[in-house]
Amino acid sequence: MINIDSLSKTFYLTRKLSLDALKEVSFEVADGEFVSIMGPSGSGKSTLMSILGCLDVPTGGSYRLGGEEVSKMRSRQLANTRNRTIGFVFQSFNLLPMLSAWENVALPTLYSKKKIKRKQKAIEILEQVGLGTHVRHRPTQMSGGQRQRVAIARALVNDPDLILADEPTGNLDWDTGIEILEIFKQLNRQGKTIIVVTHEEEIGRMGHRILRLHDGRLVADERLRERDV
Amino acid sequence: MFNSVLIALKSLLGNKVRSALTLLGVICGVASVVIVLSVSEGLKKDMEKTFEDLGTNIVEVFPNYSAKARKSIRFSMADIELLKARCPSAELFSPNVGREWTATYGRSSESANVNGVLPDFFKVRKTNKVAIGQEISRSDVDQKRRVAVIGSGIVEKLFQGRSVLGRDIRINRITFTVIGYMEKKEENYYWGDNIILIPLPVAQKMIGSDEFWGFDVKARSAEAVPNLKDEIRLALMRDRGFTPAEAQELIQIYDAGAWQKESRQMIHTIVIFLGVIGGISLLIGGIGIMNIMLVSVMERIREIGIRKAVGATEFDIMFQFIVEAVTLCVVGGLIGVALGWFGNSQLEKLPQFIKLPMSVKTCAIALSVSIAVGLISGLWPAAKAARLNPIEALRHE
Repeated sequence: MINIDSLSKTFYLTRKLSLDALKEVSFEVADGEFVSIMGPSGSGKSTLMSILGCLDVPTGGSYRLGGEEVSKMRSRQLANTRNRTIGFVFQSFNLLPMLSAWENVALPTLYSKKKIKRKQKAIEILEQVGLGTHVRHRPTQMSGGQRQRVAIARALVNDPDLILADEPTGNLDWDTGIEILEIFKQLNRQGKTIIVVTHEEEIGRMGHRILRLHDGRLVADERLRERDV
Repeated sequence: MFNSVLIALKSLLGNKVRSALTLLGVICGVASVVIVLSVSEGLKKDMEKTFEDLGTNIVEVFPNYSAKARKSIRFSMADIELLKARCPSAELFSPNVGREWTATYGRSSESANVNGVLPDFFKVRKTNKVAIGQEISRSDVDQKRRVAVIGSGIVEKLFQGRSVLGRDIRINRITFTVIGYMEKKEENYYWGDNIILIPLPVAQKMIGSDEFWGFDVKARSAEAVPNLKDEIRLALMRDRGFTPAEAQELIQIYDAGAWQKESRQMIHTIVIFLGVIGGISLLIGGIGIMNIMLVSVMERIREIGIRKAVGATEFDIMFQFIVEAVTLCVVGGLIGVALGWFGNSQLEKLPQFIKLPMSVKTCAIALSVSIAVGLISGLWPAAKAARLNPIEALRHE
């Protein structure tokens, strides 16, 4: 699924001052893996996440996603890849407040070339994540856990192979966080590749594998358990 | 495409007050453009009608407006004969005397503009066509018959649908037989519909003078008009022993064509002036839209980030913001056209005001200008939104 080879990212803050956020990072993620990326703040995990999510391009090295070289893509191709191949879940949910739950879920289909029944599909997925009764609710009328479920449903609507979650439990209480993680585990069992960024050890240990970053370098690659088949 | 319009509408409805205030600018701009276009169209038509009545080959000769001129200048048939001999550029002469008298038929009475004319009058003033009956003939003039050709206004007021020809009406207590009546004219003609034409000698006798105040001369062609004016001036000057300055001071030789040219220029100036005002209000409306779109972009940086994260391309984002701006302009434009139409109908009610025609062309121009304003003023904010970095946009609070 993912081949990362000597990936680096340098931010040029001023003409003289630059910051190496990622230094020569290399790893692979196979189809159907559940990977946690961990590290203290400033270790480069958010930068790595942005690059994995095709929101940003690396300054060096190579990133291949499903066999395609992402680092050479133009803005339009990056957008199409984000739309087709990747589903995002954010710490702060990032739902649009003026849209109802199903409209939020259907948002990615607006930018997709696939012809589907948008509303029907959105409601179907909301039912999958246990929100069949909240189809017309606005984000402000829902709890944090419910909002994150809507966000997960949105990530699933275009049926992507890869789900990227950036601190998905960061704004939730412990029990709700565990419920959300259970959804990810279930999706993983259905064959989705899942990458979660977290700084909570217990959350990180729920996947197959932990990648640890420190100061822009990959310092550990721990395999916790084999993938469920 | 349909989705984009939907997204735009949703976002506009989500900010009702802001959208309404922006709309106000567009509405005022479009309404003023509609009114400006209608007023200029109306002015042109009004002018053309007046000119059509006057005719372009016609020179009017009458005493100047000063008291001295009014006292000393009179014309008689001797002058006409003299001018016929001296003015090779003239084709026809039509002297007339006019006075306001009351015309009565049975119990109905109406104040009428009574004019004594010769048969040539109908060839000079072509808009005064006899619809039914006869014109005033040579023999009517020679025999001093008491016959009258009446305007449609008089027909309506005195006869109210009864038959007209052959009836006797009384003008200033003298009995006349109606031999014809004229077509109804559109409004704003120089010679109105409350007109009665009688043979010139009969009118002169009623007034008690063989003279008349003024006459019209028809030139052989439009090109001959300047020559004709010179010939008339020269002949009258020599005959009466005027210096050129005196002639200038006392006698008005008036040429509708020249006036027409001047008036066209004046109207052109007015139209440009009004157009500038309309343009400025649309410009202000456009700046309003640009402002709102910029604010909208700033407020929705995070939304743009989210949309980009789920796969919106730069084009998608740009398109969304342009559609929003254009939607504002289309909605504002439609309301503006309606308001302009309402404004026109109110203006028309003012006394002495011209007709304001509302054409499809006017509406189309106003609407397309408004849409163009939306496109142009939406372009920059839209490009700004499209170029936002998705990561920074997502982090934006």
